[in-house]
Amino acid sequence: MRSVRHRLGRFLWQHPGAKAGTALSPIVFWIALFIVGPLFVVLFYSFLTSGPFGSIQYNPTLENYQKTFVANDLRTNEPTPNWLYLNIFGRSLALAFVTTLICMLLGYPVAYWIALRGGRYKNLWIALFIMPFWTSYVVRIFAWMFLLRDPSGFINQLLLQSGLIQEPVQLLYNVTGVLIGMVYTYLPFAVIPLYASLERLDRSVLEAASDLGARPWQRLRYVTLPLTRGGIMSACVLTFVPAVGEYLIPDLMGGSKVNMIGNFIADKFLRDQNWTLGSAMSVILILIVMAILIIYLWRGHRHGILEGDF
Amino acid sequence: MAAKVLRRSSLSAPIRGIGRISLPLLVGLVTLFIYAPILILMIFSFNDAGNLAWWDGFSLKWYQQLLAGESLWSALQVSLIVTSTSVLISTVLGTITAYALYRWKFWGKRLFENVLYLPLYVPEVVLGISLMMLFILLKIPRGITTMILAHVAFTIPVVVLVVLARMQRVDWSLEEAAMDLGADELMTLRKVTVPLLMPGILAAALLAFPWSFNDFVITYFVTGPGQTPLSVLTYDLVLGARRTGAMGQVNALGTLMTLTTLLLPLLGFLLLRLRRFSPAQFFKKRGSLS
Amino acid sequence: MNQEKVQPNGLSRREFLKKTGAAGLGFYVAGALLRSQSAFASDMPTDLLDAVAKEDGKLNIFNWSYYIAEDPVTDKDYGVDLTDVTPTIEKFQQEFNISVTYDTFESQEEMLAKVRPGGSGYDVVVFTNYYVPQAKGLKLIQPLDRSWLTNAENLLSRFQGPPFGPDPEFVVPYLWGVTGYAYNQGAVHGDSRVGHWSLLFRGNEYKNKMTMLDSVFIDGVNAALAHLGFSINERSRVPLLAAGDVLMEQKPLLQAYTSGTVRDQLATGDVLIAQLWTGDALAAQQQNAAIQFAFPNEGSDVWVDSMSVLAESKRPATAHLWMNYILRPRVAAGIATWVAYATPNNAALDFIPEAQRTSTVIYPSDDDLKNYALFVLPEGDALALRQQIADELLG
Repeated sequence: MRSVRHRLGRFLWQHPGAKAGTALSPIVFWIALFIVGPLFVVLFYSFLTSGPFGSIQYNPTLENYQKTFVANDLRTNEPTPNWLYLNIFGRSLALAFVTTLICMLLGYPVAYWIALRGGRYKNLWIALFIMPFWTSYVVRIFAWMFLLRDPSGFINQLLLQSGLIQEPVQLLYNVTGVLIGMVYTYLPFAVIPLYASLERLDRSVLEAASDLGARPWQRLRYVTLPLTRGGIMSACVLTFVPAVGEYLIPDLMGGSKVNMIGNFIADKFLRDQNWTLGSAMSVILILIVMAILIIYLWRGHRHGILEGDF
Repeated sequence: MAAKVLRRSSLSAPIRGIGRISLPLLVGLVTLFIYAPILILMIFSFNDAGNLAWWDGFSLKWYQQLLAGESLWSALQVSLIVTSTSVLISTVLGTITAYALYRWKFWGKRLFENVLYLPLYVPEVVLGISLMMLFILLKIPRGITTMILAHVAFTIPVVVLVVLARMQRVDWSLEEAAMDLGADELMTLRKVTVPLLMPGILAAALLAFPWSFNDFVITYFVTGPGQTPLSVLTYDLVLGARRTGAMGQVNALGTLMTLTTLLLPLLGFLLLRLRRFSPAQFFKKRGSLS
Repeated sequence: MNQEKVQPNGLSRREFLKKTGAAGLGFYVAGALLRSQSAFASDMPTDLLDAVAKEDGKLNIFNWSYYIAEDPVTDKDYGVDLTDVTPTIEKFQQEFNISVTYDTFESQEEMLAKVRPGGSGYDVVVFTNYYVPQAKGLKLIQPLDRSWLTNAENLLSRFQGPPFGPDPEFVVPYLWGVTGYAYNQGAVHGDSRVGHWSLLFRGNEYKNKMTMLDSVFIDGVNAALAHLGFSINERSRVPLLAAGDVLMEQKPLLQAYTSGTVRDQLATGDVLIAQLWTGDALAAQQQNAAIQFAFPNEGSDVWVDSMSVLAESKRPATAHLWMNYILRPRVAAGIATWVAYATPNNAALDFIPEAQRTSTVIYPSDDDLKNYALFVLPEGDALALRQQIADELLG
């Protein structure tokens, strides 16, 4: 028995290709079926025709892609570029970008503080910091909605009663509300990789910089930031990419007034029952997000998108 | 030892004045930002009025109502079955994948890696609908099975990423040492590689668990009759709250879930401490490899 | 607690349920006895019962949330004792020994996507009238066997055919209501626009205190068409574009497009005017007595939610059994009373509590409804135009 195993092991050791094949075959199968599969279905549907009532007709067409980029103007009925799709795409990218920026500005100091000053309990600190994100996403969004309402929300009541403001401020159902929700949701995605790379930072380098007379901000600018570039890049990707396709936060916290591309596409699938057009728009969305990623990660960032440790 | 000395000199000394106060202040504010909704939720779950707007006096009635209802328990059961099964599968498959990606070169590796991470790029709502479309096309009845399939699909990349990150810090010469000492491939895998990677694997499972447990958007599209998981039940409770009681119950549910998940980071903390243990020491303790 | 308007006493249904837990067991035993005598089953055709016996004794139902009697309807809470037929599902299971799986949805659009042929697993699904043609067109639902639905004679004739009856070949009316708007009496007191859509479209002084329903392409466009003096079923391009303009002008006045979260906000006073359905407005009224409901004079839609059997269902007989059961007067009354929406079942009205039956919000007068019609979801250009208007508005 053992010799068979031994020989098998030997064989695999000597034939790395076969070894990879054996180990990877179940996972390749799984990934092929349930990751590539659904996306292939989307790709397939994007070339089909939508019939009456949203039925699918198996006539190959490029019409859905044409409709993604060219739409008939509501008033003149003339074909024009699909500004709506492009606008909402632009807004999604912009909101995701601002979310990423705020997450970095808040997440970096927090990760820095925990990693370098957390002392013995820094692992506990980071766990406590991430813990709230392990409770239901839906419940957290609703809790925020209650906090942000005007005038009955807790924050408005606090500000009004303390005399800081005279009139309630609108914090929900606008860009502010959506950004608060998104920053809140994506902050841990930024903090985890930042913390991982800061924690690995060689402290003696910081020490050396200080000894050589670097002021704190100089040390940050020329030593800490460049050394944690990998963590920053991972944090940006992990925040930006899922944020672009956000669906529930604009729907609930934006009151459908600050819709993003995820809502627009969902409307095509659900409201219009137009699965073929929705599919084409999804394909374009995926391609653009991938293109952004590839450009961003172009410069030698080798190992996937997450560098760091947990 | 050295780290301790350095910590004192390099970390408390250089930042002075405003810098010294502003950093902890910012950390405090961010912590407040993070805990605010949860604290409010917890406090108002004891509110007799059953909302988050005004206080009507202390009451435990929402907890009583929530725990008396059957839907909560069946939803919790569905969620636990789906999450534990899918996290188990994705942890095993994800670890194998990470190992293959890190250790071996094979044809189509680049493509494989990119495809693998697709669930992270693809907007959740598109992934949910596309999985539903796939199940409809294949005529797979929607239910626990489809939920597990979907959850494995979107948790695998998370596991791979975490385990890969761990691999970058592993001393791989130990594997070769084991081989040199006469251990075969499988023995090495079991006695050396897996123990070396264990903290990463556990951390991955720990991260994938809430990822799967709390997912709403994707899950929503792949549920079947009578198999509503907790995340979907919560959504129904809040949005369908035509009845006054529902919001109070949601607050109570949120509080219970938060308290339950408090246990998870504590577990994580213990596991992260485990990382300090040295595989080399482990080796010695286990004695010879044969 | 709940339902204060229609059940003046203080004990909530759940507390009551707990206190009468033992009595509940008693009901169960009584139910079993009755079943053995098949005292109730006499209204079910024997060939239906035979067909049910050949199926697997299960039934999967998909309905709006909070849309069935989930607790006993007691004399103490509601002023009528309908405990023999409520909670609805439990009583049905006891009488016919069918195991029911009951799931809920929050929007017709999400439901439509989920019940596409290919293993959704549901048997009975509730469609709002304007989605029935689409469900037929997609071959989602199967024609009904009317000979099995002996209790359908209890339905009011206006829900069996014109003006408000959706396709009787395919669906059985379940509950109905009206889309209008809820308003805060205290805040809009004396405003002459109350009872007109202009309050929502021109109420500049209520800026950021108003909401519209989130299914803009139906409810928003309907309201705008009515506001402009058109029929909600208007399909020509010019009126629809005009409606789109009105909605676009209205957008800055609105706090949000929402349906699920608005009841609570009406109660807290964050929202003063909200496009809403009758029963939901009543739910907000239970929390805040100042909330009233307006039937806009210019018209709006009467909608009818109806049960249908999915084409894929392997339990058509059990599905018919369920529908015929729901059509029983007392059963229908139990549901309508708990949900606080209107039943289309004429015979059920006798069992509905006085407070609900005389409520002009739940059961509006014919005069209130004189400009009201069923909305028929258009096909082709008119539908595409509605969708495009909604896209521009929300995009």
